[in-house]
Amino acid sequence: MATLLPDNFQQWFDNKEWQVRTHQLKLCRAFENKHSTLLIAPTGAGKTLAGFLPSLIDLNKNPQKGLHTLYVSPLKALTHDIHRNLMSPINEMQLGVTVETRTGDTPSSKRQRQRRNPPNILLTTPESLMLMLSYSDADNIFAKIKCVVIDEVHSFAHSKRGDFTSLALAHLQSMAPNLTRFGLSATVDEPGSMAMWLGVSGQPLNTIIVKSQTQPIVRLLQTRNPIPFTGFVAKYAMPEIYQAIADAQTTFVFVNTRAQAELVFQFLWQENVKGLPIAIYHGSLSKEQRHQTEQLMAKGKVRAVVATSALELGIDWGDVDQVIQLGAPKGVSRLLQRIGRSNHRMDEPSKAFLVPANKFEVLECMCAKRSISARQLDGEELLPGSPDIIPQFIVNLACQSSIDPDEVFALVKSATPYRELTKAMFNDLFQFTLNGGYALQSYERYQRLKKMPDGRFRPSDQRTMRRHRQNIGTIVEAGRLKVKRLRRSHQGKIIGEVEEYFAQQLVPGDTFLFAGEVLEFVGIQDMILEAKPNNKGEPKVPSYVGGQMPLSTHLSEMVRALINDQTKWRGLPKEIKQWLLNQKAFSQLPTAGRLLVEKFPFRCHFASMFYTFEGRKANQTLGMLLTKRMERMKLKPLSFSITDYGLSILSICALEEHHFSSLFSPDILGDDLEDWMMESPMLKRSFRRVAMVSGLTEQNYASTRKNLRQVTFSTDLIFDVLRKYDPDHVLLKVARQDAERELLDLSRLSHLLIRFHDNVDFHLLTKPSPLSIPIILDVRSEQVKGTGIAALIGQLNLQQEAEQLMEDVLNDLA
Amino acid sequence: MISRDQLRQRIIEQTATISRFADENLVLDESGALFWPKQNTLILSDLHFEKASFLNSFGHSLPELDTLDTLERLGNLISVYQPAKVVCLGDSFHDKNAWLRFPDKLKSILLGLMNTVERWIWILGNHDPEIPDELPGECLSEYIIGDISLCHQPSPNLAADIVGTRDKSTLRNFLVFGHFHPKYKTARARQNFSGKCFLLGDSFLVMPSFGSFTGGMWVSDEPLAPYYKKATSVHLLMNAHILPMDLSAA
Repeated sequence: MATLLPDNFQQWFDNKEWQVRTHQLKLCRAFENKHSTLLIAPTGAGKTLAGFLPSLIDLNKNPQKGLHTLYVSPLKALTHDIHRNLMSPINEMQLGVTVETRTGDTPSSKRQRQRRNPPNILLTTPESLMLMLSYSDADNIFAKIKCVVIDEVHSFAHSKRGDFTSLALAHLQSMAPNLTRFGLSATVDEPGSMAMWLGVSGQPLNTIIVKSQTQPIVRLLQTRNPIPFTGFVAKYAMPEIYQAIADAQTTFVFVNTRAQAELVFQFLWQENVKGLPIAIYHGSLSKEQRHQTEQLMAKGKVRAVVATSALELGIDWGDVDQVIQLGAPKGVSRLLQRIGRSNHRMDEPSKAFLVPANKFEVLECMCAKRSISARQLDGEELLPGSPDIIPQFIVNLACQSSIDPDEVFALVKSATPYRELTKAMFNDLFQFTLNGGYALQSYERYQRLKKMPDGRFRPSDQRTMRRHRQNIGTIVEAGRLKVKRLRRSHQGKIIGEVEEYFAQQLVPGDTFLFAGEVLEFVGIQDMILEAKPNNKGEPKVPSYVGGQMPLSTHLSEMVRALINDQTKWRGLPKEIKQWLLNQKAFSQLPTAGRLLVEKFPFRCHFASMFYTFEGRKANQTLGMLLTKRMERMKLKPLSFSITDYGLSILSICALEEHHFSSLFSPDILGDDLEDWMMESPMLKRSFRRVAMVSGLTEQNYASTRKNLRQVTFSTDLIFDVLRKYDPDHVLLKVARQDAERELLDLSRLSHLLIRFHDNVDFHLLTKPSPLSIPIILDVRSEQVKGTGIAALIGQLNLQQEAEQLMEDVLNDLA
Repeated sequence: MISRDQLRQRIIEQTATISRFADENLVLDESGALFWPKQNTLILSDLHFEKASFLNSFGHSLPELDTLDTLERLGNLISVYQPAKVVCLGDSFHDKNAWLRFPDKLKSILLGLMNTVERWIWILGNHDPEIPDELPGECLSEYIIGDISLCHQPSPNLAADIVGTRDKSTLRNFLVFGHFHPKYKTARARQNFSGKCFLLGDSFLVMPSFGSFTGGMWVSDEPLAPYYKKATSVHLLMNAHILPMDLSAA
């Protein structure tokens, strides 16, 4: 196979004293045969070079003008990084190949030029690709394209963004039928589902798997302070984390959320007696701030970076010699990916410390560590594509050239996530795209697309196209406000973004942590949050929707098994063993095959804990069903919160043993569960997302208006009105489907209830049990719409006053 | 007029409550309407008829169901309270062409509703400085009953009097107005609750918006904040209940 490599390339490898790797040659062969291929390899295996080598060789042999290879990455930062890395072989071999990046940050003059005169290799993101596909001259730009490289496939395959990318690829392929698709992915458990995702109509691609040669060294960080019951920032471990940073050359400290990043960054600086350069990096910081950190990192001027997943994908920032994972890793594949950031060479083991933030997380960390030793990874099933992206896609196609619904349907189905989309659903979505698709619309309404004499459809006007292009890729969950750091009056620099939801909670004078410092909220001006530096007060932490990651099922099963089996406790910290023993003495440990339920007074009400170990989906669905039934039993449930391990329900009246038989009755038909679900905050959240993604409401439009609230009103109101008058509307169906990603189907719910029924270990406790503490203190809970709330919030004394006044007023009624 | 038993039932169910204002007993309803038993008058504010179709003419594709829904809820209220008089406190129509877009079927529903009461008063608002000629009812910029003045929004001078930013107050009476669409949020048991609200002070009563697709403004937002500072009570509308808030606890 070595003959495949042209002389100048062989020479280049020889000069570097590198061996061309087998999988790199295999991809060259695949390109020659136009075989689309998925390459799965651990970090440091030369994956990126493997992806570009075929294109570089081909461009060397057959120089061409225009676009030859398109590279799609999930992160903007990654495109810049790849650009840098790609330029060295190109310059060193003096290949006349042009490479450019194109992302949301690319200035418009450069974009215009790229349209007229595209480079040979273009590095971009899915959103920018979709935008380019909407140009009327897109077929020109992509006419000569031969190869598309999708990087970090594992991060796409299970998300809405993946569905979006898949549709963009389908459109691209329709313009360049001979296009070869290459996918690059980190090690995952289910290569099959990713090979399908990347293929056409669910046909899996050829897959090359490169096994890792070394085992990462993973340890739990030993700390002097005890591990707390609750919390998510591991403040107790800061001295040891700081010591570890000081002992190593460069460290990545990975956290799970942006809020954690801000807090941990503060804590580390409080420890930082030596003044080590420690930086912060997350997706809400401004482009300039991130670039600055990237550059300092590349020059080796930073000793540690506190980062979220924004840093987790394949960016190579030079020599990082250790990774610290703070908080539970949530999934083994994710943890491996993060650990792989240290020591970017394949033949040396990576080093990592795990720092659990609370006692439950110790169990998770332990299971993840054992899983890595046993080389067991967690995988996820491929979900059907989200229908709410389709209206966006239809408009996008129509912006490029006129469309025919049947052709679009065929195109959509060629994207694997949508291969099972029904014609009826597609027709509804097409109708929605045209004019909203309302059954009861009253007057001649505005249409997004208009029918041409030849029966094909085009956008109605320029405004539709402009608005669509502004909104491409609104897979975003919530409205965002820019944050301006004021120096004087209204002048200052934009330093990043927070979610609108967080901004609305602030009143002037409130302080919050952002970009590593404490800011005081001044006000909101023209969609910009203004704040000034202030070091007083207890700062709040910006919350970001979607910040919490679900635990993989694989890990939650392992945790259950670990608790159950005392022989597996070896290696657990002593205090954790003691915690479990305390639980055993105070209540009991959950056992296999039975459901442990505890009830105890909590914050003036009653908490009921159900240790199901069934994962979030099951717990969410159970939470809805059980609160519905408790509402009927007049127990006045207030809220429920779910974790990966269980469910806790807060109610005004206490749950008793005699309730269980009907509480776990497997017959769910009489519950009108569907109605209850449609009323839940969760469905409204889904509808909000769906309304935005499908183009019913638009983010960018609102932000151009100064007085936002005069125009906007909550999508909850639209949801309620549609349910009342147009219950078959496609967006309600789509919202229901969207919510299903977080719910269990009803037959599985029945089976669960059958298992629980008559198998309950019930404990009445006087206070929260040791095992329950980390769970009940979880702040995220779901409100129950019922009588409990009115009782909770209505002021009883004022209510009594009203009742007294009543006698008086009744006399007014003549 | 609503019977004593029915009103008692609503109060017990917390779908209505009673508040003292200007030495009068006023019924605040969970729908956002105000009922004045002594005057047998139902008062609503900011109906914003045909808001969805207005936004749709700018390229949105909202369901144009807001007018139907607003009328249906209005009809329910009228049949519950059976008032002799209805006062709409302005911004009843979202824009000056709203009536042209008003579907015929809904026109007849509205006219039918207007026929069931003895007197119907349209107060003019900033969105609807004119009321369609075809419509019966009286058009006024202000309607005064006894000490209470009903208007869409207070004039700048009156507003200054209410919030006490003018040295010499010319305030003679009590004001009921809409316009601001007040919303309130609170936290209980570590959860946030929010909704439209009535905002009451000694001399003013701010009505929530009644229209189905109307958004709102937090009572702490700048235009409402001066009133909120002077407020003596807030009644939150949430999940089909009206819930008096304890301001001293906040």
